[in-house]
Amino acid sequence: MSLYPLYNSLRIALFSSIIIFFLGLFLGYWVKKFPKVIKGIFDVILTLPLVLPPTVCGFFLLIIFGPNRPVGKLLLDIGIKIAMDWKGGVIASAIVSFPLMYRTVRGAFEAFDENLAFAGKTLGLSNHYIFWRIRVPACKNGIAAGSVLAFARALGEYGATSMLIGYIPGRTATISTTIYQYWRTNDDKNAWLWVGINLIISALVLIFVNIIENTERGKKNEFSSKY
Amino acid sequence: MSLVVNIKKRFASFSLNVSFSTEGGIYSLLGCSGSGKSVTLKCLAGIITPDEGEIILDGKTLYSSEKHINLPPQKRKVGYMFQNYALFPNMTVKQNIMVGMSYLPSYLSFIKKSKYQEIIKLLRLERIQFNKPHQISGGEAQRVALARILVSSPQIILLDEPFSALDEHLRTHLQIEMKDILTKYGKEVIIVTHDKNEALLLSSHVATIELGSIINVLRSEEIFSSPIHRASAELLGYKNFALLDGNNSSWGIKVNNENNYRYITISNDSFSLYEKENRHLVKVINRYNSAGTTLVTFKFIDSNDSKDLIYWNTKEELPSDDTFEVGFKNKSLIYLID
Repeated sequence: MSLYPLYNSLRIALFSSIIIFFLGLFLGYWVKKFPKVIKGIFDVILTLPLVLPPTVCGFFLLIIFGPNRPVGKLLLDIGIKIAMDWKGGVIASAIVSFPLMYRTVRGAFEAFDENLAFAGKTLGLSNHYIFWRIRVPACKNGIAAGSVLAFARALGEYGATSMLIGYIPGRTATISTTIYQYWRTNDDKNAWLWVGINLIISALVLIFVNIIENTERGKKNEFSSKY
Repeated sequence: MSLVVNIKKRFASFSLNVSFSTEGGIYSLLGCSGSGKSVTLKCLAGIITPDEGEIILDGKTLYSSEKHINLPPQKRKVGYMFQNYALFPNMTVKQNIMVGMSYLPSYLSFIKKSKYQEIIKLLRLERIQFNKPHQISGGEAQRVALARILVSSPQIILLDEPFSALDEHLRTHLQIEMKDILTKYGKEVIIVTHDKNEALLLSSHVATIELGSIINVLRSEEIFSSPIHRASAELLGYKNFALLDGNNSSWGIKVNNENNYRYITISNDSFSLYEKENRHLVKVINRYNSAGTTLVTFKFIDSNDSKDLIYWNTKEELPSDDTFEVGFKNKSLIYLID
């Protein structure tokens, strides 16, 4: 049995998580500062992939990155292949799982005590320092939970990925496209095997998220009982 | 050292219009919640931007709508202590204090170290220096916040309700300690508070603020030697007020009102059964006993039609009859303007 789908899925999930991590931090912080109405509009746009069928995302991605479309063609001309390539998988899963990171991070940033940032400013600390050394550490549990959820979602992404990069064994196959392929070809044994692998990874991720949330709650209780 | 403030800021529900100046020492801004005192402090620190006006600290313009100057908080050298102390939860006490010295370049780390040692000794923080904020008490958190501000060498220190997060029984002791430290530090300090005792204990001047405007700025030791507004007297805890019409008061007794003041007030511990001056017959309306003190509400007998009840807190043994004579000293009467 080739472990390529596991490797490819992990690779896609890892790279898309890195993109999502920074984009989520940036947008989660940036959107929070807008007035209510504009914030609402951004919220809708950035959360849309969560509620849209992944095939709709895949459809739009094909329209943008298809080899015969302007952007896809341009990228192909400079040697970057997106459609039918694992890099396309990174983009597809990043878009589908981005809302999970964005919403969790924004929630964490909104719960952040803004006085801490103001205190940092009056102490002469730069905005950059305040963001990375005070705001992000104070919200680290929310950020970690969002990253892990987004990673898990990216790992299991099927719809948009299969539309954009298809299923080529040894090249674009991921765990979820492999399961579908085995099921379609009546290879129940192998399908069960990959279902099992996926279940284990997902369960581990959720346990991890729970541990993070529990430590967060524990700390908060300790603090509030004091003040 | 001097601070000149003259700012306006409109909000949906109220507008702030504050002007005052200080010449060193500890000032209190005394007002009820919603009076605009915390907003004033936030404008000074650069956290809130006023609509118009100017803020000048030691000749340096921090904000001026006319000259289009609005220095960021980082450049103002204004130390601000938040009500909840705003200690960084991810840092230890030591890191919280060291971060206040980030203006010093790293090659001067020996200065940082000696300043740090000095401040933790002064504020008795040695024992908890490696604890995180959630592992220390409220009083300790306050001292850490103060240490962090002091090492950052601000030109002025602003304290926003510094004792409101602390238990009542700790306050007096910590207030005296705070006053010593701030006096030793010798910089300009503004304290925002709604507690008149705190204001009088800590500061050399008390500025009373109501509905977004400063009413009076008074020197603490001579607080009633100059005419003050009725609203200031209310903030300072006075409850007994009478309207004056010439020498007649709405309490029904005559007073000596040469300067045509509008109101008169007297503190609720100024009366005595044994005082020889200004003896008047009174009628007791209610008595409440608690812990050896009696709170009496009464009216002067000449004024049974008056609606103004007078409050009197006393430890004296009172006659059981509800009508008797009490006296008060002339000097305990305070004349007020509108």
